[in-house]
Amino acid sequence: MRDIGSTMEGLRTFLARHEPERRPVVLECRPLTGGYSRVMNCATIRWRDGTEQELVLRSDPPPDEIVYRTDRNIEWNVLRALTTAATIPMPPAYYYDDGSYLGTPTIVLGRCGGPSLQSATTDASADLDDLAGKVADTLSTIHRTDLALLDGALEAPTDWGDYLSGLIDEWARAEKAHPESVPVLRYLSAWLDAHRPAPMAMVLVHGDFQASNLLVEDGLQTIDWEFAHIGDPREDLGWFSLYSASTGAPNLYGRDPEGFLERYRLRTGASAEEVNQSTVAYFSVISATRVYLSILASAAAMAEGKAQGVMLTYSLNACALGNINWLSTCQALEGAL
Amino acid sequence: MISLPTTEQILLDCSREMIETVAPAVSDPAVKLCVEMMENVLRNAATRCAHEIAWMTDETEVMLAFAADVASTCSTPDLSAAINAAGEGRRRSLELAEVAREYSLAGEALSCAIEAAFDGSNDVFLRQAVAILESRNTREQEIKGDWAMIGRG
Repeated sequence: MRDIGSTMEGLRTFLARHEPERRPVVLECRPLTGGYSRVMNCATIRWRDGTEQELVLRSDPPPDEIVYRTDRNIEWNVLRALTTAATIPMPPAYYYDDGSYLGTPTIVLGRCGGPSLQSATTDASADLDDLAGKVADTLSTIHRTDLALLDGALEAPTDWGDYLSGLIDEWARAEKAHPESVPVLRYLSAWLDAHRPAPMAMVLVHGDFQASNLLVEDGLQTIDWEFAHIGDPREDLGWFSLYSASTGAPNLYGRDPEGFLERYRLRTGASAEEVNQSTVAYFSVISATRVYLSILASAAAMAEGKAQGVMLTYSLNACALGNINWLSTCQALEGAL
Repeated sequence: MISLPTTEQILLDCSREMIETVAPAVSDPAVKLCVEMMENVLRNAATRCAHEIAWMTDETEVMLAFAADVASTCSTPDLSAAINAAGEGRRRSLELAEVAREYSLAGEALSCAIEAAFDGSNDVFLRQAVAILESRNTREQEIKGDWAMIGRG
């Protein structure tokens, strides 16, 4: 991990290059906790006119400590396009350093000071119905994004069937490449292939849509877009349902799944055949591919002596949790799909 | 070798020390999170090391027996190859690496048997496969313990 002093000096030089007229001074920089995948810092900047601004630095960890392997350059292109489009409430993305100044690829964003939705739901006075409605609305806003606004930042699959096949195959492919056998993944891959739901139009998918990536400020601000891609909208619904049931915080999906989905369908025009509790449950398995397989790949790297860090071994527990949840989900859906 | 206290007891004691002695002395939130994760991982490792050889050798026999059953009804080239590889790769000792290697080969035989059962739409075999996987998952849960996403949110 880079020391704070080096980060502050690197940031000062970086900002001075991008904003020479504003003469930035870095007053403070402190680590932010709450996320697992990236190194996060919050810096306070004073500009020439005396105003102060908080900026969030979202950086890659050292290469041998990366658990979730995603590309900051792609994430930056997505964030820049979405910031320009201004259709989705989110902290604005301002700058990108490829590592030349800050030592590691880093995205510099505006700071949203609100609490995470996960924290907000544990407040005794929280209106959970209202928050659940806002989540459904936020997700429908993301999924209604005009893909042309992304300006080519993300690869667009052309065929839903091929796309789904790719996701399903990924389980089996990753398992075969792993240094030890994981039979449950091969079961899931075969099961998912045998129980395909109705197709849907492809949309912008956040990829890690869950309560700790939503900040409560002026509605809900969506953060952490590293897994964003163009895919099936039920991936986000499935991941949200899965994650919401796993944290111990009030479950904004599980308290009234049908109400949640009805609101989502109304906002997006999706049909009940496409979006229902069974298809969302199906995608709760599919949607975990990226996170689960990232952990699995990092575990393989550790087994080969190429990775380290307690975050990795700690995260293996999420795989164990996933194994039991997904198998149960498949059993529960037998006959429904 | 000194076998007592057991490795499980030693790791659990390290885990306790982490939470009772180290964690209260740490103020940096990122380091505190790291310490809490280490405490959890030590508990995972304690449970795992106490049982892993017994669990893997037990499960290996169950997986190979199931794979042989499926092969006798609806074999595929992959399943035959996996069963052969598992047969040739039986462990020569109870060294952990040997047991883990044999376990993985048996797991591959189970995976191929599952795929053969899906190909043949054989519900009886698929129900048996799910029972084997559930048993494996139960042990993973025992290792996981009361894990929760520390610091998330």
